[in-house]
Parts: sequence; C-alpha cells; structure tokens
Amino acid sequence: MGARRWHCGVVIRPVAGVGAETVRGAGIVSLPAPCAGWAGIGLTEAVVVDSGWLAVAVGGLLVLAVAVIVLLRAQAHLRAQLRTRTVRLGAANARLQVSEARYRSLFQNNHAVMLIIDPDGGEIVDANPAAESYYGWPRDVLCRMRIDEINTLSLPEVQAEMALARADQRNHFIFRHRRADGAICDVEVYSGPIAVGDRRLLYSIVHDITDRRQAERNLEAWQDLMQAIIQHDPSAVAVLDRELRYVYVSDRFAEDYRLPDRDLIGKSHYDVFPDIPERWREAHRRALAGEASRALEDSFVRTDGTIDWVRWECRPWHLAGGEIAGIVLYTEVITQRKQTELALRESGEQFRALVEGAPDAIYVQTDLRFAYLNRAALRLFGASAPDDLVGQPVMERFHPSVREAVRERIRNLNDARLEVPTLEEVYLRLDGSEVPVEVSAVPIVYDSKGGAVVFVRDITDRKRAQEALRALNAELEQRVAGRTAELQAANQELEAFAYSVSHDLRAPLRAMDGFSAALLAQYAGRLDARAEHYLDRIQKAAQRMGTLIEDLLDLSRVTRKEMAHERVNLSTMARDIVAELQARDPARAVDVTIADGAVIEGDRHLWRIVLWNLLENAWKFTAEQTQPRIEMGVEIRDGERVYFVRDNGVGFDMAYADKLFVPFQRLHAVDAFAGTGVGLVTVRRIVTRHGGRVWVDAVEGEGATFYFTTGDSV
Amino acid sequence: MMERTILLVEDNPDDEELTRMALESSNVANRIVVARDGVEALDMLFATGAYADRDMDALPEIVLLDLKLPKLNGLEVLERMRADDRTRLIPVVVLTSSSEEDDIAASYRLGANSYVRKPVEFERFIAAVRQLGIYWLLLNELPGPARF
Repeated sequence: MGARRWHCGVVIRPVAGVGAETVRGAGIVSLPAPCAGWAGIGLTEAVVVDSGWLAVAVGGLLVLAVAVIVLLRAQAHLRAQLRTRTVRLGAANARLQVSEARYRSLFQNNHAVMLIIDPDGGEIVDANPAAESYYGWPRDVLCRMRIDEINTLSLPEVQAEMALARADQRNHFIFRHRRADGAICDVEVYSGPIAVGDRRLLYSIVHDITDRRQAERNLEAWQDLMQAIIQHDPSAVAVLDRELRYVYVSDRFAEDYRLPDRDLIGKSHYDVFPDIPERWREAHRRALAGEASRALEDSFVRTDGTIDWVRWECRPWHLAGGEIAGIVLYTEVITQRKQTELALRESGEQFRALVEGAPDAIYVQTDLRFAYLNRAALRLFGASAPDDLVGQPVMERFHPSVREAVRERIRNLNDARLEVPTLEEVYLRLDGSEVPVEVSAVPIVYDSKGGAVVFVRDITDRKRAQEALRALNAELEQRVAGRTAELQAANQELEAFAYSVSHDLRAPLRAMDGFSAALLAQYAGRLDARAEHYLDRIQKAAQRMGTLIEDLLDLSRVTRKEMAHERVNLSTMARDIVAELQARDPARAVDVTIADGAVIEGDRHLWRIVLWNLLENAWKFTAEQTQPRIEMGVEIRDGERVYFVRDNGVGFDMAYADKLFVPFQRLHAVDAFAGTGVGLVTVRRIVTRHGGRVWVDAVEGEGATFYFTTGDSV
Repeated sequence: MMERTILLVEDNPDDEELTRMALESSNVANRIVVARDGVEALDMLFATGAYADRDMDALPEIVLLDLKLPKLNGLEVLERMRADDRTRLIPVVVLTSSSEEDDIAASYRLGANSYVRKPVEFERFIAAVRQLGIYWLLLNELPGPARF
C-alpha cells in the first residue's frame, strides 16, 4: 500500500461460519477517497487472501467472471457515460485530492497523539506517527489492538465512555494509558464522533498529562504537608484568607481559644470571635494592607469573664504573584507565665519587705562585695545609705584577725555552696569601731552571680550581759569557796565536838550509873528505901542523858555524813526494825502491816534511822492500846509516791504539830513516854537531805500518821 | 608476871574502876595492869621508857584498849602493836564510848579482835565484859610460849 489513507481495522466474519473467533487485521481494505461511494461494497465484499480461504476465493472468482461478462455487455453504454463523467470527476477528484492531502497531513504530521477508534468494538482503526512514538508500538500493531489494551479501564468501561463521546455528550476525558514499555501514563483525551462514509467512528486526541498530574499531586502533597505542619504546630496558628476565613488552623489554636468545633476551615474569624477587640481588627486590616504587627503581651477578656494574656503576631501572606492572599495569626496564650511572673514579683516584693523590715541585719555578698543590705545592716555598719556600702569589699568590714578565716568561708559559700553555721565574729563599722555579731550565711544566686545571703545579729548587749554574768559567777564562786572553807572549818569543829561528845560526855554518866549500881549491889540491906530510890533516880537520869547524847550524835551524823546512793528496800528494812522492837519488848502484841516493794534510792544507813524513829515512835505510842496497830504503806498523791507510817496510838493535838520537828520538843511528859525530842528532827533532816518532805496528820487519842516522800521521781 | 595479865589502857579512873568491877563481877580474877595513856601503854608493852627494865618475855594475855587517850590515841597504839612481831598476836579488845562508825571500821582494819562499846548502863557493860572474859581468857589458847 503506497499511499496513506484512512485505515480502519475491519472485522471479517468467516463466511462459511468457520469458528466463532474474531479475526482481526486479516485484511486491509483500500478506500480511495474518490470512490467513497463504493465504500459500502469495499467493506461488505472483503477480499480474502488467506490461503486457508482458497475455496472461498475460487468461488469468488467464478462470481467475478460472470460479473465481467455482464459488465462487458454494458460496456458500450457505460463508456459513453463514462466519458462525460470522467470530465466532471476529474475536477472533483482534483479537489478531493487536495482536501485529502490536507487532512492526512493534519493527521500524520500532528504532534498530538491521534487515534481513530471504532466505538462499537473498541478497535483502533488508525493511529498517527505521534501515537506510534508515544505508545511505542508501530502503527500496524496499534491498528490490530483494541482500545482497552491501552486504557487501563476495562472494555465495557471504555465503551461506556466512548458512547458518551460518540453522542457528543462528553468529549473530554482523563484516562490512564498503558505504553509498550509498560509505563502507565496519565492522559487527557479529547474524543468526538467522526463519520467515515456511513460509519461513525471516534477520533481521539491524546495529551500526556503525567507531568501535570505529577505536579498536581506534588501540590496536593505540599498542601497536605502544610496542613499537617500547621495543624500540629505546637503554637496557635491560624492562616486566614482575605475575607478572614480560616484556611489552616493549628489544633493548638482551637485548644487555646477553647473552640469546641475543630472544623474551622472556611469559617470566618469574626464569626467565631464576634467580640474581637477593635485593636485586633485594626491589626488584621493592617496585615491585609501588607503591614505586620505584633504584641508581646496583650490581654483579652474571655466570654466567661476571665482575663487571658496572649502574645501575638499578625502578618500578611502572599500568592506567588506577590498579591496578598490573607493573613497569618501567630498567637500564644501566656496567661500562666504571666501569672507566674506576677506571683513571682509579688513574692519577691513580700520577701523584700520581710528582709527590709527584719530586725536583724541581712546582706547579700557577691564577688566578695556587698550587693544588697537591709536597713538593719546599714544601721549595724553605721551607713546612712546603701550606696555607702553596695559595691564595697565585704572584707573591709571584718576585723583583720578573722579575715583569713572569713575568706575561706566565703570560698566555701560561693564555690562549694556550703552553708555557714552560726558563729560569733567581730565586724568593723564604717567609723572603724568594733561590733560583736553572730553570723550565719547560706549560698544564693543573686543577679545571676553566686554569692551568699548573710544574717547578722548584733550581740553587743548579749556580750555585755555575758561579761556581767561571768563576773558575777566569778564573784559567786569566790564567795562560795570562802563559804565552803568556812563551812569545812565549822564541820571539822563539829566533827571534833561530836567526837568529844561521843567519848567524853558519856564517861561521867557511866560513872554515875555504874557506881549507883555498885552501891545498890554492895550495900543492899544497909540502905533504906529512900536511899535506894535516889540511887535509882540517879541511874535513870544518867541513862536518859546517855540516850539524849546518842540521839544528838545521830542528828549530827545525819548532817556530817556523806550520803550514799543505793537501792534501799524500805519494806524489808521496816520488817527488820519491827522484829528488833519485838525482840526488845517480847511481851507486846502489835498488829503490824508493811506494804511490799517500797524500794527507793538513797542512803541505807540514814533511811534506817528514819524508819527506826517512826516505827519506834509508833511502837511506843501504841503501848497503851488494847489492839495496837501499826501500818507502813505507800500511796500515790498528785503523781508522787508518798510513804506513811500509821498507828492507832495516843496521837496528839494537831495544834502542836509544828513543834514536833523542833529539837528537844516533846508533846508528852517524860514519864509518859520515853524520848528525847530529837528523833523527828533527825527524820526531817534525813528526808530533806534526800529531797523529800515529811509531815504529820494526827488526832489526839486516835493515832498519828507520818508521811514522807523520798525525793525519788516516780 | 607469870600469871595471865590483862593490860587495860584507860585514862579515866572512873572507867578503870568500873571495868575492874565488871571484870570482877564476871569472875575474871587475872591481874590487871593499867596504862594511863598511849605512850605508857607502848612503853609497858615494849619495855621502853619508864618500863625499860621490865622482862620482855612478860607480855599481857589481852589488851583492853580505850580509843580516846592522851598523847597517843588507841588506834595508834593498836597500829604499833600490830606492826611488831612481839605484840602482833596479842588479842586486843577495843573498849570505848564511841559509837562512831569510823572508829569501829578503823579498829577492825588495824587488827582489833573485838570492839565493845561501853554503854552508859552498867548492867549492859557487865554483860558485854562477861562475854569477853569467857571468850578470850578462859577458852582461847595463844600460839607460842610467850606468857606473862
């Protein structure tokens, strides 16, 4: 086939019904444009060249031979007609040829990819060279293909689309086409009906839009990215268009402004915030006019009446052409920071007031220089204004003798951050005078510098008081030493006196008693009753004085003797004493009760004297009772253990109770009850020496109870 | 001094006589030699001073020693006696008015064999001496040949 013509793929249906399969591209029908009228024949009477179809061809030839005969008969008639028509046809043919060449060139040479498709079966009828090179298949291959081999849609889908195009209902399509190299390309297809003879085919002009689609996808991706970035921006960001409708909004924006509806896109900023203040509207207007503005701190009243603080920035955003497309709002709710700041300032002021008003001197030292001093500190140093000292070296205010130690301490404070415990120091006032102080310090950071806050207490008064106290103590000690010496001397004298009494005072008594006894024994019968009576009186007096001396020695011993501190079981001791009294006076029957477990701390010997005296008294004063009872016990009174010795003896009138503990005072006649009047004095002295008390409760004729405490804490 | 002698160191003549009476009443018939102070007591014991010519073999069977004595007191006498081998083993009974604990403790510490407090009551004194006489002079045998 030399000349290029319109080509259409034709389906040849097997005449003899051989197989149901469709044979495509089996033959090519040439359709010379001038013979357009014959096209019907050409299309119906296909010439079969396939060797398999020889029989059919022979049949065809027979038919042709008959036809030739018929034709030859009509030849003469036709020839005449032919001549006239040939002239007309020649002119028409010439016109047609020009037209065909023009259209073919349009098809063949077009850079746009062009396909002619049969919409019924989807066969590709023709393809131009641009299609060849685009799809990568040669024309003859393309013309044997069906459109769904190129289109990624299925045949019925493509057919549905083509039906739209043929009906001119829709001409513009976006498809994805497959190429010989397997690549899938986005294409834009313009498709419309074209009549070829009486057939209605489709022509398609195909544009590769892969790059455009890619660009579009990139754009979408960028938009998604931007959307994502803004949405998740940790700060509150809103991008608005010229009408102040939201284009992008960060989640934080909705969160910060407590917008329950997160889907803000497209809504008007002023609809969402109807009572937006005028100064902000002004900022929006300025931004739309190209001028950015911002505020580091700005407050606004929320609908619930609370005040929030924001930091904001409002700037225009531009289209590629430079045209302002809207505004961007960057905002940050800083209420919390602001409140912290305010609280901090407030607490700072409180602390300053505290420090300023403190009665003790407080100063801050950084770099070994005064950085701050409170009023008391200024007073302490004798400064009239902070400027007298701020910036001055602190070391100048220390007494030279302590400067090295202070330097070490400040090193510890400033570098090692060690606290300085309270210690005494001497400061120098500005006038050079010394002031004793008590100092403690803790490390702090002041004006971004490591330093220390130092607490200073003027202890001049205390020092003075201490000095006075020391002097007083010294004097007292001296006085005590003097007194002690005097006492020791007196004690020694007393000791000597007691020794003398012990040895010498009793000797004459022994003589009186002894010689009286001798007289009575050796001159018995030679003395009358009166003489014997007198001798008896001498003996009694001597013995009484002996007892008196014994008691006095006991009393003096109580004072002189050094006290032991040991566990003393008063219960056991009392039982021993009662046994002794009983042994001495076997005839008596006394009902004695002694409580168990009366254990105290003290001097065993002295406590025995106490118990002896009390029990002996009880023993003595119950002598006339028919049912004498003596009880020793303990009871708790006001949290204190109180011991007692109770008897049901003669008792006494409490009016005389105060005389009981005075030496040599007796409440009974000597004849009635033996006794020296020293025993209870001794008792009280011993109890008092132990830190206890003793008292008595008695009813005349009913008995007496002696109470004592032992100085032991319970 | 071949019989068993008692040395009574006592400055008070009343007490001396009362002691004699008490010893007599408890049938102690031994000879009683009296020293009036501590120095005389030591002279007698060690044959010194006024007693230099005394036979040193004749030592008392027992010493009844008062504590409060002129010149040297009883405790000093006791101390000297116990420091000398010749008198170390002679029984010493401290016979005194003192009831001071210190005196009692010192006496025993220095080697007294007994401590008797002279009571004011004569009857009780006799009772105390009677016990002494029985215990030391009648029953006890001293080691060694030394006898008055």
